[in-house]
Amino acid sequence: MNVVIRNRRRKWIILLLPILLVITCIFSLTYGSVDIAIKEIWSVIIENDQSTFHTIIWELRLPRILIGLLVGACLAVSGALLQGVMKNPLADPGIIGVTAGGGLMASITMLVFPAYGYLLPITAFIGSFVTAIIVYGVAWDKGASAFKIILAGVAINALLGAVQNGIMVIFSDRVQAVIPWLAGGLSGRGWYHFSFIAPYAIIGLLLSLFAIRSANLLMLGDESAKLLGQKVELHRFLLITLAAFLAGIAVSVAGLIGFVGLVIPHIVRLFIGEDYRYLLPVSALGGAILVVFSDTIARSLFDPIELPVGVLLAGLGAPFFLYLLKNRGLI
Amino acid sequence: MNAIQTKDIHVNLGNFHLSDISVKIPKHSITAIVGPNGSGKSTLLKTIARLMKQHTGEILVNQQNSNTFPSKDFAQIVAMMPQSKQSLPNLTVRELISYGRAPYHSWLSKTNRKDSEIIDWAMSITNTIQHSDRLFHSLSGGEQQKVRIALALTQQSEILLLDEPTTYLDIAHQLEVMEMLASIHEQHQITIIMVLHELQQAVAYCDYLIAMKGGKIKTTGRSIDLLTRSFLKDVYDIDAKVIYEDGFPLIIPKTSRIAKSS
Repeated sequence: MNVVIRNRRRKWIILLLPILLVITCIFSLTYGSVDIAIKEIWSVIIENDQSTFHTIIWELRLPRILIGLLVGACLAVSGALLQGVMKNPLADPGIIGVTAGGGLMASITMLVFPAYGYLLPITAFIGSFVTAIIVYGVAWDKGASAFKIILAGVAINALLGAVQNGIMVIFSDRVQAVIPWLAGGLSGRGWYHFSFIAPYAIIGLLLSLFAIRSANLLMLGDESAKLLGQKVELHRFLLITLAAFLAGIAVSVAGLIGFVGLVIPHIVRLFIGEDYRYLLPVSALGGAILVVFSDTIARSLFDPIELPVGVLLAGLGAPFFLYLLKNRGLI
Repeated sequence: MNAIQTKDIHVNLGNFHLSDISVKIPKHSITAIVGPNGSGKSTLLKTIARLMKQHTGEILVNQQNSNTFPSKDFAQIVAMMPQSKQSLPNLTVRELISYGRAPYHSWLSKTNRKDSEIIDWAMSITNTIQHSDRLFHSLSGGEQQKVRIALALTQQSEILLLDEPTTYLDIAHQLEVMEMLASIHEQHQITIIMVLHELQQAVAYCDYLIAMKGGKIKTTGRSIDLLTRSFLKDVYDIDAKVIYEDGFPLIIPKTSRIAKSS
């Protein structure tokens, strides 16, 4: 890649992505089982017109879009951070089990301790974090290769899945409430869920701005980073914690959504390079666009049945992952 | 005054040990660590740079125990260029070199005017300024090596360690790098310690040699006194004579092919 082209791309992408995000949100407001014209949306949102569309827009579509934005941004940034820390372009919170760990803790909270439902983002974070540390620890042998992390992740994912199933069988009387959540979707999410995760998501995304310098130094390699005075182990630990926190937030409201953290940073890197000053914010925007757009398609595709967006994203993301594995000669 | 002094350090790497390493490196000197492959040269350099921990013994930097320095303070005193087989990300030359200022910054502070001046200085002294906006991976091996040196220089440390700065380079680039280091040393009076394979250059450019073998110090001393037939026998197990031509040492080994033909 040539620098002139890279810098020009950076400029255009930073200019165009926010516009694309707005367009995606408008598309998501208009499109669905009921199509609503843009001027209707204008009159409902700006002029507070109490028409029939008022409920659809205010109570259904808008909160769902906002949640989609946050979930997408959190997952993409989490993936970008994990890829940097683990020096592994294939790391994704879904693939290496970090999402599943958060999901397990979240379903334990919902099924076993439903009274503590308000702690969901925290328990999901703990699950994600512990899983991330276990996967990284298992794969570590004077460095953790891409392949080892994926293998360890597959094994941990299988184990977590088994425990998840066990809990669902034991608490089968309550399981109805958890199933749509597990499939990974935004169906039925409203303002309550938004207000529930927004503070955590905003804190997590703001903290990721402070992670840029560390992530960039780690990118130089452990030796070089140490020689430049960075406490490598400490920073790696902090970045894994932050990545798990972001994944946990997404899991707590949207369930198991995979591949956003893999696909988005990967594509962004191809266009603008690996500098985290650009990679992180552009990934956040890209993740937000992908999730909102996919969710709009997912809820309209088989109308009146809503497909969980996690299912659609897995359908798109898994082939992409296989392509990457093949491309790198890992399979 | 010693820039660096190691007191009886031992490093245990499982199947390899450094033992009884006691060396003194005078301030403002250029020292080469030489010895056969696998003798522990890089390990010693990395231990001095705190990339590896010694199990016993003590390293003094400016008469102070090196482990007592906070990591950023240490990086302001000691910089090291690692071996070139460690890859660096594909940033522009300037972006990459600017990371050398990291020891002077906290999480939030931005690159300031002084940083840019030092980055410019490091690029011009290493002759890389014309590649400022090129991507690192598009440079040749020799250019990449100069960028690595510039990155270490940007730390503005008084002690500079280099791990095999000339390996994998052709003779023209080897000489260019050595001349560059000599002139940086001349102008800025920094202490330079480097691992070198090329013995003739080591003697021509360095004040002192530290010769290692099997994880131990074999001998140390002023380089021109040290390079003799018996030194080559002791350290490398080779039979060769040494002559000086215009003050530059030449090692002439006994080779079977030439012995037969003459």
